[in-house]
Amino acid sequence: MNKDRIRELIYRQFDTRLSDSEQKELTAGLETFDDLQKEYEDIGKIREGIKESAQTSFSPYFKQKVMQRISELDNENQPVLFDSLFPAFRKLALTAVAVIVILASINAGVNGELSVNSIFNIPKTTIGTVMDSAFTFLWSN
Amino acid sequence: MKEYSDLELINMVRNGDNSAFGIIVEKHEARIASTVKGMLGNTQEADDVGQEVFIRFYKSINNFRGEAKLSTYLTRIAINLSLNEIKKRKAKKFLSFESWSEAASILPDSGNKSIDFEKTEVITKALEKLDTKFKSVVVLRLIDGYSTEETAEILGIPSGTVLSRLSRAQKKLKNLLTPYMEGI
Repeated sequence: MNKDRIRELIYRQFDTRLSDSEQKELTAGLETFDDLQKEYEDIGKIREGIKESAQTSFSPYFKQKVMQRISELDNENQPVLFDSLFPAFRKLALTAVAVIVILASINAGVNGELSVNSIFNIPKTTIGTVMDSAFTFLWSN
Repeated sequence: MKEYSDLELINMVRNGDNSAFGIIVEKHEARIASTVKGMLGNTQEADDVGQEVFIRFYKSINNFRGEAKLSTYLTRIAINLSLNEIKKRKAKKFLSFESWSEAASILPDSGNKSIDFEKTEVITKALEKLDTKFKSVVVLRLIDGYSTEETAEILGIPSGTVLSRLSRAQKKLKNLLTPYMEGI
């Protein structure tokens, strides 16, 4: 009878179901070897001891601490007014840029100009034209 | 008072009822405590990790599809966070230049056991001596009472590996605890 084989069966029998022949082999081995019988009992005691050593609670007010942290987490995630406006503004800004680029392209194609005035069809204004308009207005009155 | 299932409670939380999350914490605190304290001992870090388990779950509650039981899902988070904490501890020890001989200190003197032999303390200290991969199997299988298959699922390893690690862990524990066997 092989001691190592019996030892292997000892450990296995705690976690798996041994076949009938293995169970017989283990029983015979435990009757033959006193030290293995002792080892078998020790392992049983250790497993029991480990089970009993389980600590099944955290410090007092554990649930309250968790709920407090969750409440803080929820408050952090509440969007403020600016945060909620920002995405809307970003969309608007991007749309405006796209419109300007399109208008500029069309104007460049039609008039061959890329100035802001040409994009928005604003007549070119110089100091001379402004002064002329002002004088004309004053003389007419 | 009606007892809600985990899935019902989760749906209530998803619909904005945070008090349902409190019930989830109450229902699963004991199991998560035994997992985390089995891995880290009865320490302040264990409490912090325990809180973090539930916070992580709260943050990802919309991703929970119910494929695994909630207890299994939470235990998986608990094991992963505990392993991270153990890594941090090791790094701290390394940075504090604690000597290896000190780190591998032996269990309390067995000669004192007749005075105030504390079985739980001895077992906890013996568990601390186990390598994390063996310790996690012992905690899940022997302390939490998960089956071999559930333990394998939580740790993402084959069942055969669970059994071989458990067998090796028990041999190691037997060697460590032999001087204290009368007290156990």
